[in-house]
Amino acid sequence: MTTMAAPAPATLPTTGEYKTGIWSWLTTVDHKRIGILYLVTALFFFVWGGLEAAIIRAQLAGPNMGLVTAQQYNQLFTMHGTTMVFLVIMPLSSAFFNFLIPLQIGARDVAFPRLNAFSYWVFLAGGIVVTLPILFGMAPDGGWFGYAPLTTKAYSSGYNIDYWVLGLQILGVASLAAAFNFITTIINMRAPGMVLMRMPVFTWMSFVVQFLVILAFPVITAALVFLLFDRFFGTNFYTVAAGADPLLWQHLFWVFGHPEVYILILPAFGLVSEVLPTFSRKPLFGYPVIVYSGILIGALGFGVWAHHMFSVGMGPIADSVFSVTTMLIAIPTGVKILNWVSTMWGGQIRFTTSMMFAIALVAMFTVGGISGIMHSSAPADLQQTDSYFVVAHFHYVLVGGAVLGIMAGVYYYFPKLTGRMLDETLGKWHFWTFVIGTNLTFFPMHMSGLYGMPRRIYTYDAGQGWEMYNLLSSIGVIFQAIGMTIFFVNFIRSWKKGAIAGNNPWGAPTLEWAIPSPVPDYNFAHIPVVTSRYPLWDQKAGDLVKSEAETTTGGRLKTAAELGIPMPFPTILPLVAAVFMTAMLCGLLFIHAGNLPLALGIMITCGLGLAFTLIKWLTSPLE
Amino acid sequence: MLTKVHTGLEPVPGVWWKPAHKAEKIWVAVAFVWCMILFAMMPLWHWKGGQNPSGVRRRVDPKAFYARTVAFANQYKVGEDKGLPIVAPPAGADVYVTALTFQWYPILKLERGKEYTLHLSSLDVNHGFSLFPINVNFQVVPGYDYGLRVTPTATGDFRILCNEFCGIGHHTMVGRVIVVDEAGRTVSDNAAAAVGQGGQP
Repeated sequence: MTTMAAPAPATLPTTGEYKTGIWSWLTTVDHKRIGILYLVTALFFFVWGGLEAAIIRAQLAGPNMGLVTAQQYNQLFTMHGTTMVFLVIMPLSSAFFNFLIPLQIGARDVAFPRLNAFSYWVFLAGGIVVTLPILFGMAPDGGWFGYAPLTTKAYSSGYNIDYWVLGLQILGVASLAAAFNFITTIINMRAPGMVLMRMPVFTWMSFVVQFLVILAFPVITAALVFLLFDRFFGTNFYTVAAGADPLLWQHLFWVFGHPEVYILILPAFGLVSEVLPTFSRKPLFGYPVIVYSGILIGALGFGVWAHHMFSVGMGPIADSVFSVTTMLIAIPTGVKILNWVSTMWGGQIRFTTSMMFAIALVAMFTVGGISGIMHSSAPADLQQTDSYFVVAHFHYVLVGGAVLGIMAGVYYYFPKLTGRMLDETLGKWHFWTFVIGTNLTFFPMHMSGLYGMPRRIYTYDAGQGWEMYNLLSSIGVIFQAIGMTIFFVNFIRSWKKGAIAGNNPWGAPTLEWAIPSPVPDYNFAHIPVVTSRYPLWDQKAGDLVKSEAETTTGGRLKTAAELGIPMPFPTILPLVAAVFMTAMLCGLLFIHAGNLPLALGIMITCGLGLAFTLIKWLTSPLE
Repeated sequence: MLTKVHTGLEPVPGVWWKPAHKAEKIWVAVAFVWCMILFAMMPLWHWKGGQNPSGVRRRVDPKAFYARTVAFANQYKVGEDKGLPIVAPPAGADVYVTALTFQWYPILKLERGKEYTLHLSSLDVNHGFSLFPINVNFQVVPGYDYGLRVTPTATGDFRILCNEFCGIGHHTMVGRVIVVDEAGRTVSDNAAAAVGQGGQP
């Protein structure tokens, strides 16, 4: 296949049987459509969480502001953190997992298409349970890491934390189901010749992330089950007066919480590892090292959790051990950064919007990574912990790392998703306003943190040297908001009116670019045989896809039926199962209200409904 | 069917890599040695430099600890500020501070250059002890008595901020530590004094 971008056709290729309408979306089991659902939902929550952040920054713009009450402020920052972690960055990554993994490994769908749909609907239901209460002033208000005993019923007696506990449990189900699905897909469904060391790096990083999910999420599930029992059934897992260890929650949370950081960042690393080679016209520098360092980051990620807890006084031995493991984890991360720089070195770089976001990730993540190494030293961390310095650090990692990487991915894969290009001029405006805004918002937080400003304070007095830095941070949010507005205008406009992309607008090397954009529901009319890490650069076209005469008929693509490819039936059952499961768990809320019969009634009814739905699901044929 | 994995670009002729340059080898060696020095400095700071605050933690009943704090406050009480006792313990004494939503109890009046054993604990939820503007942070958790030997080195009227989110009044949770010199005077501009003297608690 040619290394040059293929000329774009005049109209979008289609099989002529692509159904639209709300019912087709509710019943879909197609991994690409589920990916789009994840993308759109996560972008919606991105706006939601962004607005929360904007209100927080408006409140902190000057000393002693009273824009919101302290109660509302606590709900806002808790929901900002929870939304951005669980409802924005994780599902944005999921959007790419869903859309890309089968395409990159040459498969027709994921291993369990209906389970995949179930994951999405459970995620949506969990997201609604967590986010909706803020409209009624009852949102969770214990911080995104919800330290017990503050979150136990003795100190948070309202419904607020209940929504948080239930919502996170539900979201955990979605993540776990998806993780098993993707692991099975990657292990079992690779095209002939797609050995592990030929897999695209995004698929590799996704593979690592799924293992992190199945190892880390059970820990938070256990912690949340304890809290749930404490809150609803009066147990004493976190009641210090009854002899509980006050650090139990912190340890459990961070054993989950630190791998979670890598769950958030590794997919973005995978995306830029796709973008940088394409726009540098060079293979990824040190592919095996990038893969191994990704695995190493995932493994080491489980041995660093207590660096979030240096200030609780674990003693010098524990502090030193966790300092060293934290410094160690910087090595594979640094290796990746240097590999990306080496990939660009000497390449023919094209500064598309996607490439610019990828380069920005390399730069911004390095800033966040370096402040991370500063925290790894326990004495230094004692001065920085719980101050705005930490806030600056993890926003550089999550916005400068994960969000910029995901944006690079959105600009890069939008043509494959929709068949149309995102507008490059608007894209450049988006890039510059957003990146400038990000730095203007988060860099001054280093300073306000070093001047002693604690996290999560509702307001502060003048005269402590914090005013200017807070004002700068708040101004930065305006730039970020402008940037994201431009992005959404571009996104919606290009979806309808963008230039037709063609199969491979970027001249990219991986399998997903060999097939039409948008991708027909069966993905590959013919399962390709892979003999190279960069099949589209190294292999002949005929080896990968059938000729046009075999895949098209009468000016359109052949349908799955015409090609003799069995396709899974659309089904509403995953949605029904997700609704029953969520309703069953939400029945617990009535125990809090003191209405035990109603709670039991709801839980038993919905439990039976779930059981019948699952029986129907398991006994109905897949295809 | 399997062909060689290659780049799609024109192959680079011959041996494309060169042995590491002398400068590169020196650079790697220097970096490695520096890593080892930093690594050794961690325990060294701790044992020799007094850098890592080596607190001792013991299990304690939150209510019992609070009762002990109240008894301690009554014993050495020298004044009152907005209902909180100001307590001036003698040098070398065990000093108790309890964090409770949303205050630090009591207000301490310590003398510069004298050593005290500070006991920190919480009555209810997790709090954070942060001495402003010196940025020393300890988490104060219920059920654990965090014992710490402190010698004030700067005089002034210092603030304790709570830096672990503890609920609705988190931002109002500010305590006081007054450090006086031998003659019993405080310096009025404590922030400048503390930073100027490289102050440490």
